[in-house]
Amino acid sequence: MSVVLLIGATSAIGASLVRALATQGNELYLVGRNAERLAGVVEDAKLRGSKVIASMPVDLADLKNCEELKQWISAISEVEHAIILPGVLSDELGTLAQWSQDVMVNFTVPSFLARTISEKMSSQSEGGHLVLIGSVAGDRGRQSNGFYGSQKGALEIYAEALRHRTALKNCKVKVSFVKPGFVVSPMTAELKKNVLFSEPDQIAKKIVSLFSRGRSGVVYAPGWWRLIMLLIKLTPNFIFHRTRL
Amino acid sequence: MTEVWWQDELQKPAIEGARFLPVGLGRSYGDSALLAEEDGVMKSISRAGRLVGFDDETKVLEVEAGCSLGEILKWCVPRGYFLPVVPGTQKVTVGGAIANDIHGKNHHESGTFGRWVVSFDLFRTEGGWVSCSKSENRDLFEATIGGLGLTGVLGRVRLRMHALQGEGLVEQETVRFDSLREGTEILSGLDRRYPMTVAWIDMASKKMGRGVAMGGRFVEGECPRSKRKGISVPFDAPSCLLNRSAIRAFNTVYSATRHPGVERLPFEKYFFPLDGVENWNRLYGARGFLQYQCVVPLHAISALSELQRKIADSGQGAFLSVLKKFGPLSSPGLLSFPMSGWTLAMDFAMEGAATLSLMKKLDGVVREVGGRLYPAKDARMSGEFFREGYPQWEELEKLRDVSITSRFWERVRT
Repeated sequence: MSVVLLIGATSAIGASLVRALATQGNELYLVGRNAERLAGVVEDAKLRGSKVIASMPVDLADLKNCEELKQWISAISEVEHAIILPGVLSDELGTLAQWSQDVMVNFTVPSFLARTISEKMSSQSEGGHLVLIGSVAGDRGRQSNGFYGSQKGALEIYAEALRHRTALKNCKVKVSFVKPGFVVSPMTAELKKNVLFSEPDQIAKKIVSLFSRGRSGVVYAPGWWRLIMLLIKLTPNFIFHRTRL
Repeated sequence: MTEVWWQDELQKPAIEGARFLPVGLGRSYGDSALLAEEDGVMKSISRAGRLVGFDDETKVLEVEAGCSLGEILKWCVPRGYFLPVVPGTQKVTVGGAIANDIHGKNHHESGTFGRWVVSFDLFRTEGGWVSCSKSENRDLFEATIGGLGLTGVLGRVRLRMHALQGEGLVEQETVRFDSLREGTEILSGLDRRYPMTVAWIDMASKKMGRGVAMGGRFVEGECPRSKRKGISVPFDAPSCLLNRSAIRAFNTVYSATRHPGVERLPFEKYFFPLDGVENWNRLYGARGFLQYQCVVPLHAISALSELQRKIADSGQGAFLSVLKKFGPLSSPGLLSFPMSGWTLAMDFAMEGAATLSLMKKLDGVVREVGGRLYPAKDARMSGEFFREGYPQWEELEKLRDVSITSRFWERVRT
């Protein structure tokens, strides 16, 4: 039984994670955007066996909200595990205003929160384990979703930096970066489903297993995406530029 | 198909003009969960399945309709509760269970699923959310139970649970019989001693009518957690796999391997044997299969014998057949299938015109004694037969949501 902070509890993967973590009887701190939906998630988690829960509705696109969230996190006595999930699929032809907001939600705020949480964990005697969620889209700049992919790629580099910083301060703090492939969720509702799609439950299961393994690093979910992305990364430009990927 | 992840999404306006159909996990055998029109939309509710609340005193569980029975069991069994009615698979949603007013091995003691529904919220195109129970919007309450999703989209449902004796371990007594008539006598006897009964019956081989009756009850004792990893049929088998000889052979072997006696097994194995083989329907190959499930009144045992005769004459064997005695408990649902009597459910490999013609002959036998077929399993019954068997269909049609229809309903209401 651990204390788990989950940011993004009302997303598809978030909901699966809450179910899995609550069933294990963990003490959960939940953050999500929609207050009513979050309340529903909290009730479900309590019924499934989570003993103590506090929750806070937060819109990551709102700076003031994020400052309040930072205070809220600092007030938690001890955070053993933390998962940062938020993400919006960017419109590749979006306006400047839309793109600015996307970067806030996909990169800036998650990085800021990751910094806050890793600092907190570094001061805890038992350290902690922080998990950030990225995407295979960040592995190579591709014309089909380059803006979304680059935000996720940037987040991966920041996670790497955090891993370095925490290794220097307190080696009991682990930082994992999980890269799911295609996942069935409201984010991918418009995309045609094929055999490459995973269920949110599968990703949640992988994330929960990271806590028992207790190692820092980059993980693909499911694991076979590592091979696919390796091939994508190795394809030379003169071939890749002919594709519409 | 659109997936509803949150119930507040139902308030979004529907696509102009297009009709839709709420669906669950798609286990209906025929066309009751298929769209009537090409431009229709399937609204899948299975992603919105949160637990909302549980009252220890009244044993009422409040849950979103997209929650599967399997998910509920995962939650309630360790806490000492069980669902009041379970069908042959746990992969159905609460919404689907209500829409088909499902029944199980314990019908003679507990009736259908609808009997245990206290109330629910229903979302209708005209009027939005409506609260339904026996004392509020009773007409909609009764039309929705067994109503095949036609009255609107189910939201939160309040269900009365049963206290579970033990940890989910089931004791099962197996008794063999050599003829259909003997089977009905044995089932009647088992009904008096067991809360859950059913019989497997051979409707394929030369020794048609023989079978195995099983009575079950929950008992105290440690229940081994079945960690079995199910197998999956990855693609359609060749159509010749389940041909007539194979079906006959299977029934002979199955009969020979059922030993009389008493055994104990975990509830998953007892209630949901087919859940262990994912996509078992693919064994029938591309041509598929049709299920025929009928119910005939208690006195009409001769009709059962007549059904057996007609099947024997046709040469087409039913791969898997199940016989059960329904009890007299009524359901609040307008279109509820069970009646006090005998139900026979049979899977036939689809051989085209021959299978359809056999089923038409079986319809005649069932109709003559005032029986009917189960919409959840049907893909071909005539509109007249349906309307005769369910005289209250017109009330359902009056209460049908303006934007909802299914291929089944369009087929049988005219």
